[in-house]
Amino acid sequence: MASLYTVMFELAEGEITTKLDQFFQKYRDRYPEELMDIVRRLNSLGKETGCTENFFKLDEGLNPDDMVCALYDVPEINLRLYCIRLDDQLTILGDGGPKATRTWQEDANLKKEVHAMMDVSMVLRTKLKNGTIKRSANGLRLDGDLWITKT
Amino acid sequence: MTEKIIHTEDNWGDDYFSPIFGDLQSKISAEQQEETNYKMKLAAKIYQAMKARGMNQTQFAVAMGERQVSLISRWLSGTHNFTIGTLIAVQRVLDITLLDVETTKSQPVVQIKLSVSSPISEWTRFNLDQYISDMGGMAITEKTIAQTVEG
Repeated sequence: MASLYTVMFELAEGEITTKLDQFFQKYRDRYPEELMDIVRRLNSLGKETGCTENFFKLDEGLNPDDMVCALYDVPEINLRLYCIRLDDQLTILGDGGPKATRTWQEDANLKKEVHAMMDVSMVLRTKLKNGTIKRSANGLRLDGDLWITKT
Repeated sequence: MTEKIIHTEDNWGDDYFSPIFGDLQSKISAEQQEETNYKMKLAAKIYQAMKARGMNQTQFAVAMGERQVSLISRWLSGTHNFTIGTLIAVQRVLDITLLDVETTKSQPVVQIKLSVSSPISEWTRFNLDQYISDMGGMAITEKTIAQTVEG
């Protein structure tokens, strides 16, 4: 069992959305089967298996400590969902897209999404270190100041 | 530099429900989710067995006679459809059970202890052997012999 978080933010005119919602909206029509497989796997991660390492492609970020990874993408399609995997019990889901290049750095969209998760990771690690965010006793919840502000 | 709106309300977004995620979830049948759960748990079981034996993916690939470590990654991803031959080989290498095809329950072994007690002390061991033989051999185990044989 695990908790799956995502990053929530406000669009213009007050509409709230999340990184995961944006991922689904962008790709549900282009990759319907792969997207449904991802949703089912997320259900399994949360309710059955937990977020063990084998379900992810690790070390996707540029910092070895940033915990940025990607949910395993089936080779024929390579639809990447970037995440921050804290441990087996808690993962933060982001956005992503199809990977048609050898590295994500060569794809403008993937590069944007990986860097977004790296930014979130830096804020999260800082807050975990200074105690403004804490893990619950069972490890399934983040408590405290979950705001990420950018200027 | 763009200045973004900073929210400070403590409950901002707490009641957010993702319409798109809800819609995608509603399209998953119980059978589809069960199949995904099974594949994910199968992968998790293999991964846990590898870890228990101190094996990394490269070592496991060698033990399985596979050249491509990327294939092992796929096996562990929860997305792979295994052949029975592969599962049998994995069972053998990791000494775990992935397939259970027993069709009959084995009969419980009932151990019957032959207990002989009797105040009569004239019976020798020869007398008892003869008695058992006269009564039909092993059938005697269902009867209680009220005889004591000394030494």
